[in-house]
Amino acid sequence: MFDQLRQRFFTEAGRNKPARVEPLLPSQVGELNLNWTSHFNTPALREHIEEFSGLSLRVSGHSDYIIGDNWRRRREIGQITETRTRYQRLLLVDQLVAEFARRNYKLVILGHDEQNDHQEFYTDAGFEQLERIVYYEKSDMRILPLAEFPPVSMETYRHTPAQVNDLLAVDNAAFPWLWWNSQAELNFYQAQEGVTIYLAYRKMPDGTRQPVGYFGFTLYDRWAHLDRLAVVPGLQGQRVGAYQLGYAIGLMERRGAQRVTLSTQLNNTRSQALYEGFGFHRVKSLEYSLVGKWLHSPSAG
Amino acid sequence: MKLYSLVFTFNKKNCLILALLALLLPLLLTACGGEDPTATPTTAVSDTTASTAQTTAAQTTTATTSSTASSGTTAAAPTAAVSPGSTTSAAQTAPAATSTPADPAGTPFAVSTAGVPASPTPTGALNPDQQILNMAGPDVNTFDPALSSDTGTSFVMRQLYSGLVTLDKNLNVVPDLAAKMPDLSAGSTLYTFKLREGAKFQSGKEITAEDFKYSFERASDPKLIAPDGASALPAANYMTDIVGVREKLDGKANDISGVQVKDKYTLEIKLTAARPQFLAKLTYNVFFVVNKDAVSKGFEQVDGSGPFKLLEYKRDQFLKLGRNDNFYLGAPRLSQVNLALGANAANSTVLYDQGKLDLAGVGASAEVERALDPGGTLNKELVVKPQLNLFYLAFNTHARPFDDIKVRQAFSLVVDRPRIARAMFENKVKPASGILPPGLPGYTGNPGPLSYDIGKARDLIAQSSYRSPANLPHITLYSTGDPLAGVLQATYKEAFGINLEVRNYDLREFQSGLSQKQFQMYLYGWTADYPDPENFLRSLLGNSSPYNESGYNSNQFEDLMKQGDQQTDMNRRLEYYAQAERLALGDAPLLPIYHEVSYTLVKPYVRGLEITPAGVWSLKDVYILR
Repeated sequence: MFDQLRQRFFTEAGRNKPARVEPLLPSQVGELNLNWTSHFNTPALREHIEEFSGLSLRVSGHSDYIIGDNWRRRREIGQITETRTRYQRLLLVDQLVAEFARRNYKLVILGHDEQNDHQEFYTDAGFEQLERIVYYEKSDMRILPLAEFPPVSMETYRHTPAQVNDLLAVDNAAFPWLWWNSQAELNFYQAQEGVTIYLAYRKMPDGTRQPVGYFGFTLYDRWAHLDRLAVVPGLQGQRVGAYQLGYAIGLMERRGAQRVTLSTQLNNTRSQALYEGFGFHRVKSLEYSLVGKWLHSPSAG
Repeated sequence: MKLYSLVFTFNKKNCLILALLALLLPLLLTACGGEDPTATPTTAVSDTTASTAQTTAAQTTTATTSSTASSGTTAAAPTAAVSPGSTTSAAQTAPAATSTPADPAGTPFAVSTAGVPASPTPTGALNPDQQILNMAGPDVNTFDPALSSDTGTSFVMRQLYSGLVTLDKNLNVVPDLAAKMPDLSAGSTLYTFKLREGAKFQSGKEITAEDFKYSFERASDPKLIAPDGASALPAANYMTDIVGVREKLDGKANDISGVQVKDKYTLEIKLTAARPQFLAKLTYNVFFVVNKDAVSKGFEQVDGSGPFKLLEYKRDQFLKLGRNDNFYLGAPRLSQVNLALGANAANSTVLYDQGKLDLAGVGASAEVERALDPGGTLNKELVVKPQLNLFYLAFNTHARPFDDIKVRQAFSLVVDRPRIARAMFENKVKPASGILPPGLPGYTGNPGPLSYDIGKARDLIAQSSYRSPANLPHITLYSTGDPLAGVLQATYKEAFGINLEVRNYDLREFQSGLSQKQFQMYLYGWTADYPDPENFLRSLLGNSSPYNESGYNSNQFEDLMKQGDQQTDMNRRLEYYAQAERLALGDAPLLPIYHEVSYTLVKPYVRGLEITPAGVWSLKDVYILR
């Protein structure tokens, strides 16, 4: 006779186990059951734990674990990247958050899958939505000619010390604290395959030049994703962004892109107006939330 | 396999001694005043329920596997001994002798010496007010035994109804409503059953041979519509060895010509050919006797012949059974059985801890780990029993893309079964390599033609009519809510980069979709109805089986099964079935994933419960002793 598959194996295993949490050491990675959906394989996780020492924990004697690191290589923002546990999530998350706090992190953010897979758990644990990220797509490469060009010139980013300083200065001036790029993130980003970065400079009356913006995009197979578009605060609304965007799309098209995508924050209405003016349309199905928990007062940022 | 052949040679060589023993033992027993139930082997064992008859937690799984193996062989041994028997009389005595050594064949049945083991004698005074058993279980699909096809329903059927013969705790066939094991004649194709006189339905009406003839004809009547609208009746899987059942199923006959009433208590069953496994098949629900007068009024009020009657049923909530005072082996000691269903059955281990349930199936949970600790308090309450079952992933061979054998093989090759057993079930199940479970006669333990190999799987997809995973159509996997579905989803994503959709149905919806053959691929399980390879192979893969939902249809497979059926030598029969199994594994209509081990917590005051490898328990002999 037919027999139903048994659900109880999963739902009950591990309940009521007495648990003690300890740091996960690189040498213990082989003892874990890294399952199919893990971001890591054994050597990758070992390397990860060596890089972010003390930010991954496990339940002593069991294969329940939590993996933490720095969010976008920011030293003051932690990330919960992955948990694998049946009943000890609360314990593991509490301990990792405490560890981040001990290290003076200001904020902990959830990795994308972690947030999707355990939404209710994290809501109960006091995590909240920090940003809503909206997604835009432009399915052609047409741009309208700009009526008036701002007096800026574009320069390829070549990773010189001067450019690095300029870019980080623009970045931190243009974006809110949460979205600042760290130097480590910038180094990581510019080394990725298909990435192009340009800096925008304005000529000053005294002959010097001042960095006023930058953009970066990644070229994929016949499409490009605009990762960053920045304009320093004093010049926003003066078409510096529009100029850069037109410039970027032109570059992308020359390199074979047939469509462009990007994402921005829901509350950044000015940037949305710019993109919509360029023929971008919102793709609601790809929107998501950034969820996290402040460890100190948000004003500390 | 090894164990089996040892037992077999022993039987063959010592056939005479066995037959003599069989004749002498009952005589000896009667001479010594055989009323004492503890003098008979069967009752002596069942008296010591949770400590010796079943494996307790302290013993290892390996130990229980081998004990099942030997119980499986003893169950099959008599049939092997029957067939080569040169004379009909040898064939008649052998099965009764080996399966029920204490059966005084031919004498009237006193309760203590009946073929059905009598209730164990309580070792203390029973409090009649305490005889209530609380347990949890899956919901029932129907109260009609002719339509029952799953374990949850079968469990309730087993309490409400009964048939000519039944399986004892070691899965040996023993008489039930039959007064003794049948006489065989006409080359082992004609079975003559003498019914137990005076046995009654719960309403008080006496059960006669006519009732059996009516019940068999009703079960194979094409007008009997299953609740899920399926036209294929379970009878098509279990009854077709009987002459005339095919004609009846096809609507070409009004009665079953092979079932004849000789007199009020004598029933003759004629088979199309000798079938050593027929008596074992006869223990299944579809052969249970029903009362014509009650059936005509529907199954709202069940009038069966089992030890319990139906008191109350609320779908998805609870089911209550009450004692049948008319039961022919004497009323059971339990006055009531409460079965929690649906949400009420969730968290059964918590309810067990709180004392709200007297027994609970716990699976590979933390409670099992706790209970497996020999020093723990739960250790004595855990009963471990490897099951004769198979949980599998099936492909619909008539639906795209699984009409392509290469795609089925590729989808089989990427599933790492040992890893599933290890990572998901913490090794509390046995990863499957074949269709037949360990302990079943015919189990080979061979690795099977399709073992985990991702590279080969990708090659097969490239060679298939689809050429690339990107060209595969959208695939939906159906299950009854098992987390294994999610694991497979991830497996196929990783192996082929495809996004499998998973749909979970409750059992009724699932069964209904299944019988309409709507599912592209699905997860399901099969538990032995009787310990014979045919029960797995033909039920799941035979081209005339109502349960062959994958639509597998192979002439070569059918030929091998038929050749197996015709063998009188048990070993040769098993060899043909093993070839059929191997062929089917290569054709990949289904992928065996694991065999279950049952872990059941039983309160120490629950006595007389036998947990068998076939998963369906009888509560007939259970009592509460606090």
